Amino acid sequence: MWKTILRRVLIMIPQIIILSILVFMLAKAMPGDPFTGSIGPNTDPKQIVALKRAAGLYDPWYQQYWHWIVNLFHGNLGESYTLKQPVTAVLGNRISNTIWLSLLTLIISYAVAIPLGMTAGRYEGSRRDRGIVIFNFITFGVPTFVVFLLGLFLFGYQLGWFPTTGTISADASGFIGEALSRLNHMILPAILAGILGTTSTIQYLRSEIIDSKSQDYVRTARAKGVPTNKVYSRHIFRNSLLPIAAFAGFQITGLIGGSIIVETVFSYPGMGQLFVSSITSRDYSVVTAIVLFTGILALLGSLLSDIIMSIVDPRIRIE
Amino acid sequence: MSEKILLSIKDVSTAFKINGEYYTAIDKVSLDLHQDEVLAIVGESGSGKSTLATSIIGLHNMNATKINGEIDFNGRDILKLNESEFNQLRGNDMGMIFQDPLAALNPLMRIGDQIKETLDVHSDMTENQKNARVHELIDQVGIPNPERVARQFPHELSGGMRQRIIIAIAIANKPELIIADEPTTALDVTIQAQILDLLKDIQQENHAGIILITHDLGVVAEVADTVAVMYAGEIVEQGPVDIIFNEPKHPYTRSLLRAMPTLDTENDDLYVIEGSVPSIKKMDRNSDLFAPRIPWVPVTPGHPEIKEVAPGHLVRGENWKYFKFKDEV
Repeated sequence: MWKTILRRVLIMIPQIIILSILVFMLAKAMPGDPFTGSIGPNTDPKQIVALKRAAGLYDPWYQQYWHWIVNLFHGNLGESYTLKQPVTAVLGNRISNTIWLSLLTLIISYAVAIPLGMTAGRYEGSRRDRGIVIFNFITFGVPTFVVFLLGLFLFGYQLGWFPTTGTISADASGFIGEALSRLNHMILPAILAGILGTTSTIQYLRSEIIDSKSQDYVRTARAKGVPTNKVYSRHIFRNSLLPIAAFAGFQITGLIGGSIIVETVFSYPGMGQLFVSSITSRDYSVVTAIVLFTGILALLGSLLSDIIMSIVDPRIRIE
Repeated sequence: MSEKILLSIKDVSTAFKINGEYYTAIDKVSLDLHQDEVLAIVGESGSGKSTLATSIIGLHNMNATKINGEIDFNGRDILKLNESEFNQLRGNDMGMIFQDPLAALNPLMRIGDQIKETLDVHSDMTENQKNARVHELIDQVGIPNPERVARQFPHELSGGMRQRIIIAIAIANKPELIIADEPTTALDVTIQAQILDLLKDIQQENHAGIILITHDLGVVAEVADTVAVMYAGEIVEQGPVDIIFNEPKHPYTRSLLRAMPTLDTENDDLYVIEGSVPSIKKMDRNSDLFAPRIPWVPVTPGHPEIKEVAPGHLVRGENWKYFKFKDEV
């Protein structure tokens, strides 16, 4: 199994190089340059050219790329134009906020979706199954921001059960106190986003189980005299969870990358929110850093999926 | 072959629900299986062989299946058992060998665990005894290095080895009845012979009764004691294997035997039975269901009954008395 993982990690290296080139090219293609807007309109054009030359903007693209990469490895992603801070400092907290929120969302999503999907698949065609399918239609059909706004209004403002903005209360103290306060700020957006995110997992699991039920190995198990409940737990569910496990890696990166709406509605200072604000303020160095980061995250997600797969499915291990 | 009747099937009919309506897949089948007997059920695809086997071992989806009649196994009518009573029987007193060894094993479970599962359900052996039994079984079905194989996954074994594992699972608790549903169909010819030998050995060792479902008459000739020929969900001819092969009566049996390729004929063309088995939705059970496939023979109205023509030899209908092949007319 270690061979499988090692091979998979090695494949990632060229992928990351290609990704970084793409991100660099996109950044180059964006209108304007670092001096646009930050230099007075009466400055001598010759002086601007001299400044640009000094900054290396007339060098061939590969030299500029190399320069950028070397800086990247030194943890230098440039400076945010609007916040006048290093990009790494701006991103740092935001990234961890988003990762925690996404993890909690994923856990809640699975905690809801897996039992529902199993029930729907096992009792296909029953009243329970139909109820779950209707639930699926609803979570799939309603616009997410409507649910977030309603939830925020009802549980945040009307009932006052949860905080409505931020990640932590000002009066939280101590490690446990801070952790609880953070959890308290995350819980409402995570529950709402988690429930809305159940659709594909439920639907996938349901059809996988219906499919597994008619597999020959299930018939073999039944012919051994294995009781129905055990046939489900030992044979059907395990095999049906395989594709779900394989998707977990993508799911988490999808959540991190797609956190824009939930973070904006709940004024949760995460990456998604930062992404939107830096696009509107044309803060390109931040945008580039976020795009690069989410790209790497997507690669890591697929690596994670492959690792999970090689753990749960003996067929794809390289011996 | 002992005198003790192990399994007695009386007028069993099985119907499947398709779009809210029940269609008869097997119609009033009666059969006896003795201890030590190998009974072959032969017929084309769609003739109801597997449906009959699945009815005996109770693996139909009962939400969409209706079974009438009586199946006495060791004196108990097993159609009256509830699910948990049946589970005690399955894998313990009756074992089933399946057709497709590639699909019949769980891809995510180690071989040893899959064999052990049937011991877990039916025996009160200790963990060590179970492991020893698993190794013994793998060895018994002729696979070398049982300890290693027990730790392997199905995809690491060849088709023939997997079929042996399926057999090991079926015989783990020394069942009195083994149902083998096309056990050699998915295997190549050399492996087929080995598997058949293995089945015969096991039968002699355990004194089990075997129901062997196949469409391969070569297999029948090799291992069976008695033969039941099924067509469109009913038995059309039944008797000891030498009589069925040497003095076949029913036109279907004779057609099947004629369609069997042999080396010693001068004619290179294979005999082909015209048409195909009617679909379950289109069977008219008030007529002779095989008649449409021998159109040159005059049709007798009504549904032909099965009658004993010699001791132990049963044939359906009367048209066998004057049936001739098309090229003989």
